[in-house]
Amino acid sequence: MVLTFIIILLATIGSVIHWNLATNNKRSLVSLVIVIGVFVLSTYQIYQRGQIAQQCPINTVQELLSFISWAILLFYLVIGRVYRVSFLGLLTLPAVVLFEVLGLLPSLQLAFPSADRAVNPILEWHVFLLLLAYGALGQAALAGVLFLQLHRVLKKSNFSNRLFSQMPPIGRLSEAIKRLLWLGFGLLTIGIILGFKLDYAADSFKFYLACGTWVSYLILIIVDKVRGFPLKLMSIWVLALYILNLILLVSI
Amino acid sequence: MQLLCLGISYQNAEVSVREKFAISNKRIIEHQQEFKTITDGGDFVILSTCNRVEYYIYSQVSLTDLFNRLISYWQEQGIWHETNKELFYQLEGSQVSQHLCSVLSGMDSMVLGETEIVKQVKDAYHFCLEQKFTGKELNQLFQKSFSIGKKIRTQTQIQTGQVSVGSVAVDLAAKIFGELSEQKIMIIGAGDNSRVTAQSLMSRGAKSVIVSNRSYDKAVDLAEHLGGSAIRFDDWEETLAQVDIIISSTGSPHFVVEPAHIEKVRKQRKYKELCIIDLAIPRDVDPQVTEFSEVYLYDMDTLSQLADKGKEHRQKQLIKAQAIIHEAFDIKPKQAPNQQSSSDSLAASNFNTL
Repeated sequence: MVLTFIIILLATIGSVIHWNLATNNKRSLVSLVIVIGVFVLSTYQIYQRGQIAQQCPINTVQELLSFISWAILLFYLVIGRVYRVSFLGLLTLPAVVLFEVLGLLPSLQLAFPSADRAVNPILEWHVFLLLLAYGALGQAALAGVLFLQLHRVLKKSNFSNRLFSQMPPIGRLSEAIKRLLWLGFGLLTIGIILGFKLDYAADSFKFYLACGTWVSYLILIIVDKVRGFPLKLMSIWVLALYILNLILLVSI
Repeated sequence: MQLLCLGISYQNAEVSVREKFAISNKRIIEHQQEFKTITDGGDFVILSTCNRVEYYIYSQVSLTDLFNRLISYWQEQGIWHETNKELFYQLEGSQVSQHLCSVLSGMDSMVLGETEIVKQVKDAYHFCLEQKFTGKELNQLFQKSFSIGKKIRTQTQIQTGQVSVGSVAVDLAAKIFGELSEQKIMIIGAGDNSRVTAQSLMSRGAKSVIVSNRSYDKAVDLAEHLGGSAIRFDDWEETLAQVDIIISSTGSPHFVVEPAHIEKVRKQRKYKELCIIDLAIPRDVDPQVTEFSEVYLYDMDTLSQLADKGKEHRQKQLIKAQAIIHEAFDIKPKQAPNQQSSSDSLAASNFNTL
């Protein structure tokens, strides 16, 4: 619990620093160092929970949310530099704060009924890949939010917006959204294939949720590939689908 | 022996006057030898650009004498007119150092903060250095000024923000597409505005240009100039599906690009982003095209406003830049107006010209 509070505190400080740097048109390695710091702490948090449970820590919604926020950080660190969209840190750290704070709700800390079952490597890989997919798709949703903001500024010619000059170009955001979408979809696919090898799959709502998510993203990818999609519409869909899936995940 | 500077620039003199005193590359060596005699063997650097001609000198000859000798020289050349005397600025001692820093940091440039001047000064200095026309004092002056100029550019935002319509348009296109090297540009109307903007885009990496104009010959001329291809005016609609950036500047009294044109090619373009720069007055592009989410339209008003803001932003940086120069030369920041240094005055007049 103490570690969770430290993560929340550091991510909040990081969010404020990111915001200040962005609005003052400055860059600093400090913001990246804080993201790495939060990532390291999140990794340790997951490791510690795993040690206590003696299995992959996926027994409460809180643990799932922590896992997803860890995955979002991971994909930020991977794509932030590669696609030169490090500005996404402005949204990534607040997302971590949101996930961790949400996880503190007492009702989300109750163990799933299946939590006491024996360690099953396939189940653990299945859930791990699905949560990684949620991380990639979450980062895509954050890139979508950034696109929508930039799109609004460019459409309305509201260039006095304090974040405008620091925002990455639409072309790069578009590339990041699409790659993350493919990556998330790929991870989701492998995770679901593994899920079919599990006994619980047939009667698990979470599994059906994952399948539903998979189908919705498949449709999105096919439509984009075949006929194209205005990026605004795509961003709205990526964001809406993600929020919907999160709500369903939390409300199980 | 003292540091001196004699110069004429765009701030006081029109181009028709400046061009008389400009020294071409062909004449520079000959002129350097002549100037060596004028300064009685003193050290010097001659800077001649399209906006200024300046002599930086370290000599035992007084500034007044030196100016009179130069006037005699120009009289012999047949380029001197008595009214020119007032157009020249004459600086001594620390004023020279401050002025050189202002020049190097772009504070004294016609386009405030422009960077081309750094290369021009470096080239002029190195040329004189190689010819052994500079000595210890001038070398120290230039080295210190290069360093202060660099400090001003890194510690202030004097070179950020765009100040011309063309460069603003390029920045907006870059904000949409990122790298411009893969983007195709179509120019509708081969006027000067289009040419300048297209050149700006190409200087940022854009490679493929298609020019369409009512007069096909003009289209071909501009396309050749830009290294692109020309199409007949009737064909631009068909080409629309292939392009990412449109620069329109025709003299048409009505809209040339209408929503129906975009609608027709949306699917074919797979809803890719389309940036339209409308440089025409009256406008060429129906603003209704912005109803399509992938279309970003910027007209002359928007671009001009942004360019004005860019100028304003750079002008605000002048105070910070001036403070860096004052600090470097240990000058008290607050001076009475009548004690303003010459370079202060030059910077101030620059402020007013923009």
